[in-house]
Amino acid sequence: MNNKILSKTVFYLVVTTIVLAILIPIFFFVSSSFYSGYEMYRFPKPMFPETKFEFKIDWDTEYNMYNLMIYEQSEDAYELLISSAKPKDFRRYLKRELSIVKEDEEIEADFAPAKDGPIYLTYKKNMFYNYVTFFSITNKAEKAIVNSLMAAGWTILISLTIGSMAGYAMARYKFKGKERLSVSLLLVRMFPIVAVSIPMLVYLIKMGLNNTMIGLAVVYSVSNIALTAWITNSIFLGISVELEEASIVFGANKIQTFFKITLPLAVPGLIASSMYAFLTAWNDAITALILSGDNPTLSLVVYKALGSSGAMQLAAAGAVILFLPALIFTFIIKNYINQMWGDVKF
Amino acid sequence: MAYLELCKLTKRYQKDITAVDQLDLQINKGEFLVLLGPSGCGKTTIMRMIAGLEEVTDGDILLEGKSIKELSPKDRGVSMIFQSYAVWPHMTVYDNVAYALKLRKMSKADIKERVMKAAKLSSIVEYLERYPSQLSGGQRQRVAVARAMAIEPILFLMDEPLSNLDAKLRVAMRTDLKEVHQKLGSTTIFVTHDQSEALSLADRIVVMNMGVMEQIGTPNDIYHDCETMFVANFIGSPPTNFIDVNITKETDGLYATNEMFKFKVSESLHQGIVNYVDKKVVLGVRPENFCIKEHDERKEHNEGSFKLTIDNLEPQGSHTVIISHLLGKQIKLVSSEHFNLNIKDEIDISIGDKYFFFDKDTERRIR
Ligand SMILES: Nc1ncnc2c1ncn2[C@@H]1O[C@H](COP(=O)(O)OP(=O)(O)OP(=O)(O)O)[C@@H](O)[C@H]1O
Ligand SMILES: [Mg+2]
Repeated sequence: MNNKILSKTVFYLVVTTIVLAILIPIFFFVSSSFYSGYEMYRFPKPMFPETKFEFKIDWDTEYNMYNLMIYEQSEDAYELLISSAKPKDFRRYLKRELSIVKEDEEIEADFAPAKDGPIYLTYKKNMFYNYVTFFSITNKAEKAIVNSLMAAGWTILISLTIGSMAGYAMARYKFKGKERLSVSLLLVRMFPIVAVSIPMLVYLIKMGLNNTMIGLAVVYSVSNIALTAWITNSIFLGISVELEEASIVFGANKIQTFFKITLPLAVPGLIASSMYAFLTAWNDAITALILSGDNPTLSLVVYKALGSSGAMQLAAAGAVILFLPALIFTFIIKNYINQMWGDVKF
Repeated sequence: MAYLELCKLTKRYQKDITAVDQLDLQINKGEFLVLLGPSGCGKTTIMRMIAGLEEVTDGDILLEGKSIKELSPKDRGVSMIFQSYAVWPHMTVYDNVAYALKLRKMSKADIKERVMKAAKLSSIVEYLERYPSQLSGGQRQRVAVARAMAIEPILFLMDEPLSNLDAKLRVAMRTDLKEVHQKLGSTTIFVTHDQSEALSLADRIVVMNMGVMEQIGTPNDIYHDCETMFVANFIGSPPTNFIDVNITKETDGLYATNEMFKFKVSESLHQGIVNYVDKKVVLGVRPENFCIKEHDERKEHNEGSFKLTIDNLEPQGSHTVIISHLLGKQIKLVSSEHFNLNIKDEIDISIGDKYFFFDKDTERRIR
């Protein structure tokens, strides 16, 4: 009894740790993607992004300038942000540091009463400022999304077609060196793609495929074909030969049997493989950097944004943009696999 | 002329594994033939060769006198029910049954009619819209039967179709199968390694062993008139008892003797057994064919009777299995009378009038 409680406790502790280890970073960068620059570099960081800021503005009679102060909750005090006479300066500052988008005239009108004594006002933050900015400053973002989708699509197509044919052959036919082939497939998988990228670049340039998504997909497929062959091999092995033989006895030829019986039964495995293929292509940045630096994919754009700009929150927004399609794709597929014919054993 | 004829049918795998060896077999139209044999004796291989799933190494398969050996499976018009049912999990029951008909490019209306007919016969009409995963084992089995019936095959092949069902359902389904067979009158080859299934279903039974046919005959022949020691041992539960005896010639006839007993061989067997005088042969007696009497000290032994000690008793309700030993070998007897028997008791046994003699070397019946 006690033992049971103990093992349960340990089990849940482990599960919780794993879940937290995965969720905390995700939470962190999703939350960061909604920060303004001011929040990003404040310490301690707020757990959730602010939606609005409270300001105090007073008029410095000595220098004839407005002082813009922000309310700092942790100290219960106002902190000076910037002093200037020109609304233009405030507009720029509000936008860049606080994700608040205002026109010069608006600011001038709002600030004017401060000349008669300190005023307090609240501005709403533009929550999606980072996302909008990500697209506007990284001018290739839209193209990059299309590129990423294309690279992923080609990778799925190439690795599924070739990989599943290999998987089927390994499952159904006896041939010399079958064992060796399946082991060597695993070896290919172990090989880092980056290592083959540079020699591949030479080939791709020769074929005129550098900086194209097909060329990139070919390289991604190298390791994915092996994985697909492995997954589909076990799927095809799991499909009883009798199901195919029944089809043949009842009047189908081999090709009809493959398309009407074997392939539909292998669909869950093929979808799972396509998920891997998608993720490989979608998440990779390094190979893309080498092979398609001039025509970047989304993850490469995000990667560059992370590395170059000081604005972490922009990179976080990029990461969310990168992360969402993969998440959606995975969930749709998971549901689809679950729904298919309930709990069939075949 | 036989409907289906197997002529010296042989199958070898990888040159040295002979799964089926020179099998000659004639099957009549409308017959329900059962292939019975232990695991690995080549039953499935025979079916697969007839269906066209396996190439014939040697010999021929004739259907109404014409060889079908070279035809592709779809041109043979045979139906097969597989051991694992092999109903397709991604199709509804209706689509499963209609599959072969669609491939034959029949019209929608005709397909529907055929499917409904088959579904009615195998009582799966309520399940037509379901997927196989939503059916029980027995229902899936019926789907396999309906699918096989729908093409109105010239030959039904059933490879252990009931072996995946639980004992009770198995008995129920076998009655159903028999009924379907009677309604359709289709020629059927049925494979099983369950002898009670074979005995209850078959018009004729083929007993197979290691790729060769041991005996073919009606269930009665197979049980009461065994051709070989293998059949005598394989059919019947408990199996036939084998006892070594010497054949001796005396003035009034032939006697079978050993250290325990001696009895006179019936005249009808003389023709064959006469060649075995002063030789050892194997006496085969079915457990229920011994004459059992409770041991009575006062009475003298009848001629040919001997004493056995009961080692164990297995009451079965309708009868009791008595386990004993004779000359160092275990023997089993069946008594349907309700003697008051106890372990370690002695009983008086004599060999009745139903027994077989087998040649010790060829293991074949001496007639
Ligand atoms: N593809 C194959 N390659 C080599 N040997 C085979 C092959 N298929 C069957 N055999 C052998 O042929 C023999 C007959 O097999 P078969 O499947 O016909 O037996 P079975 O009578 O149907 O047995 P069971 O009752 O277990 O189904 C077996 O010894 C088996 O090992
Ligand atoms: Mg078999």
